[in-house]
Amino acid sequence: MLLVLNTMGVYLFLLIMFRIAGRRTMTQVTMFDLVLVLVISETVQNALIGEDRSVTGAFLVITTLVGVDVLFAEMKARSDRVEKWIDGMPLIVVREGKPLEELMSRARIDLNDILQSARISGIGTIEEIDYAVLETNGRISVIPKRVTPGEGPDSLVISN
Amino acid sequence: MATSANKPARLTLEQDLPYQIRVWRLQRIGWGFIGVVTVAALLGLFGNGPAAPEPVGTFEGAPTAHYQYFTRRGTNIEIVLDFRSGDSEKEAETIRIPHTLLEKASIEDVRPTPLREFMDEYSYVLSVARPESGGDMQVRMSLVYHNAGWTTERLLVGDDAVELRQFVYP
Repeated sequence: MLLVLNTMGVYLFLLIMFRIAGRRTMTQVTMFDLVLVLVISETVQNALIGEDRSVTGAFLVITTLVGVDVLFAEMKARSDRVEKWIDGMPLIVVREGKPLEELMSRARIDLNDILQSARISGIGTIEEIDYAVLETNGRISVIPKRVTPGEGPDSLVISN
Repeated sequence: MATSANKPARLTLEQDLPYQIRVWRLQRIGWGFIGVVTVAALLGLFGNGPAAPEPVGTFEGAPTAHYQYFTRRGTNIEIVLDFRSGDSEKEAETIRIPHTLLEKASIEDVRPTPLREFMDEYSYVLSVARPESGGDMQVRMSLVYHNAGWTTERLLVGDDAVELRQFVYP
């Protein structure tokens, strides 16, 4: 019984801690973040199984973790409010070409993060961005401005 | 829905800024909580720290017990029993550890090594030799709790009782 309760407790604790830590963009993930994840997983493993080296113990921990995860997924699917509180909501950080500095600062992202995501989408300058959205998974989606014929940058004009 | 008054919608997105601001505010409170927990842990509020309360359980004239009030499940803790030289003229001291404590914790080590140990109906009985010089004596017991929560137990040391009151974190 203790194993199951511990596992549930650890799951909830991690959920709360990662929500407190806040969303980070995927471009901000560093080597140190990966090390941090490894250290956390090692610590959690000790807290969950301790001295229990039995296969049954491992089965119980895995079953509980997957069970709680499925439960939360189901709750999120049924309630928008639960989904909002667990996953957060997307945040517009560039609106109609204008960076929303205050929101960006509160979300701890800067123009470089947005431009980095923009370059991946083949966009080179902030002027070409219509909207940028910080998604709940930490990625920044960039929506380019519509280029009307004859208006686009010279580099895009292909002539034979 | 992010739209502009004059242009057709370029982005369909549900954004709730008041909610987001509430989340940021809660995050700041959470950061404060993390700071408080870290400082409390450094001070020993979760056991094994400089400011951890270390009660002394004793009656007047009886042996004293030193131990930390806060401890954690699965962590080794030490209980130190101090006997003054004038406490007894006996060659050995008897320590009775009740079965109720053994159900919550395991005794990992006792120093000095007991001369004799046995289990009776109510307790685990240790007989520890007093020093030949007749000076002060100390017994150190290392315990590991398996259950979390409040615990109050009485160790019988000779004819006296020493009360252990501890809080065990999960």
